[in-house]
Amino acid sequence: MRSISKKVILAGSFCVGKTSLISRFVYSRFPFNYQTTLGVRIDKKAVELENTSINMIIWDIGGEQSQARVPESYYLGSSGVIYVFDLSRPSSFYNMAADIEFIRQKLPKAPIVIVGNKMDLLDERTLEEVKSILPLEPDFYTSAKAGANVENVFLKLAQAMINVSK
Amino acid sequence: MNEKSLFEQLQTILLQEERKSRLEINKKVQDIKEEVTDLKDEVEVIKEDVSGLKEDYQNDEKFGSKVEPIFNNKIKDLKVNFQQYFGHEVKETIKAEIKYSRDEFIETLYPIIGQIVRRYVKYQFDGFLQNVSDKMEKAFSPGWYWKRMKAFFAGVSSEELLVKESMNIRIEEAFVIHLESGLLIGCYSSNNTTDVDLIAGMLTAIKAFVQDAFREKEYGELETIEYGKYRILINHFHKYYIASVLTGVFDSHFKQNLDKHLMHFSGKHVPDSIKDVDDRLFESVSKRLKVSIQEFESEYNI
Repeated sequence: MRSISKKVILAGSFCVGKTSLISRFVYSRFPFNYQTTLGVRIDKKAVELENTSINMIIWDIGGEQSQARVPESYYLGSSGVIYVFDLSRPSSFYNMAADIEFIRQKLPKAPIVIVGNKMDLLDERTLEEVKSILPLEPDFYTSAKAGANVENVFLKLAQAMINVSK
Repeated sequence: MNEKSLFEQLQTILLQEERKSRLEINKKVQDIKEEVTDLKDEVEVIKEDVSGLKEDYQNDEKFGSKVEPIFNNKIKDLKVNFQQYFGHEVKETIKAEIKYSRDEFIETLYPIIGQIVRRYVKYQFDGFLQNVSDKMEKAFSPGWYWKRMKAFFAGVSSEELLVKESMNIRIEEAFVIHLESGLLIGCYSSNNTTDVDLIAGMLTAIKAFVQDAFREKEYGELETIEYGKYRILINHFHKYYIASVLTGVFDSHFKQNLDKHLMHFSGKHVPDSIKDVDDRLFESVSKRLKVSIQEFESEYNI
């Protein structure tokens, strides 16, 4: 089986659950104590798809109000992006369209998976209301706390990165 | 003169003194009354002041605003004259503490002072080594002939050969890292470091941070990172960089030789264009890197 390494970055506003998503995906656990990410932290996990092992080197970038404030060099060489926002905090998705556009300009070839996290904090009716005001439709609604859809986010991105590599 | 008039005259004569003293007494009584009234007024004023003070005392904000300037002045005074007021006592206390708690004191200070001393010694030693090298370049004596010959065949200078054994230089690890993504293209490790992928990523993040932080001030690249006994030398190439983790003391000649060696390795064994960082590339580069470093160590008699 061929093994290939890819750099993946998690972007999005602060306190949207980027680190928790990684923790759930890589270590299968949810960190109950919130600690803000300073600068960047790196984790890795390999997933197997189409007879290829994708060694995902995941850069968890400290949250900023706008992606334009993230050091430019953190984006360099990224093969995929997971953009995370908090479904329960509208200020975390007001800038989503501009942020995604900014990332697309930086990384024109990299697939972007959009994730609405903290689904567990909303009841069904509120979730529907939030969906109706989102500037862009996310690819997944997740809960890092409950583990809902977390694996799928990374698998979808891995698949998209393989498709780009072909 | 009739009888009545005489009586009145007599009365005037007899009571004249009495009348005078009565008038004086009346005046004194009047003065005392006035004084009492004044005192009453003053008491009222004092009562009001006391009541105001009581109110201020019970109100934290008001009390604070009254007391704060006094404390601030005192603190200012202490700051300026602390040494004069307490210098002697502090000196004596520290002396006593050092005398009676020597072990604890050393334990607390060692991590800080130890590092400073170690860095200083290392710095001085680097300087010394450089100095020896410079002098030896010019020196000639028959006694060094054999050493020079040996060094010549080993590809190093005789002074390097002489001090090398005691320097204990060691290339602990080397990483070939993709410049932009921070992905690991190849690595050599003499002690099987746990997660080389994460090290490569974090080194790249540190480089990126430094570059971003100083972009507007100066153009350049991060070339060295020092941590404890480790020194990480970074050699930049077009699409990747090589980070070599070294221990021991070495001079600029050693570094130049290592630079040359890595340049040679880079031109020969790492592809110019890297599309994907996969296991085949990793194994190929790692294998060649290991051979290359072993060759260098052997050439340099490490």
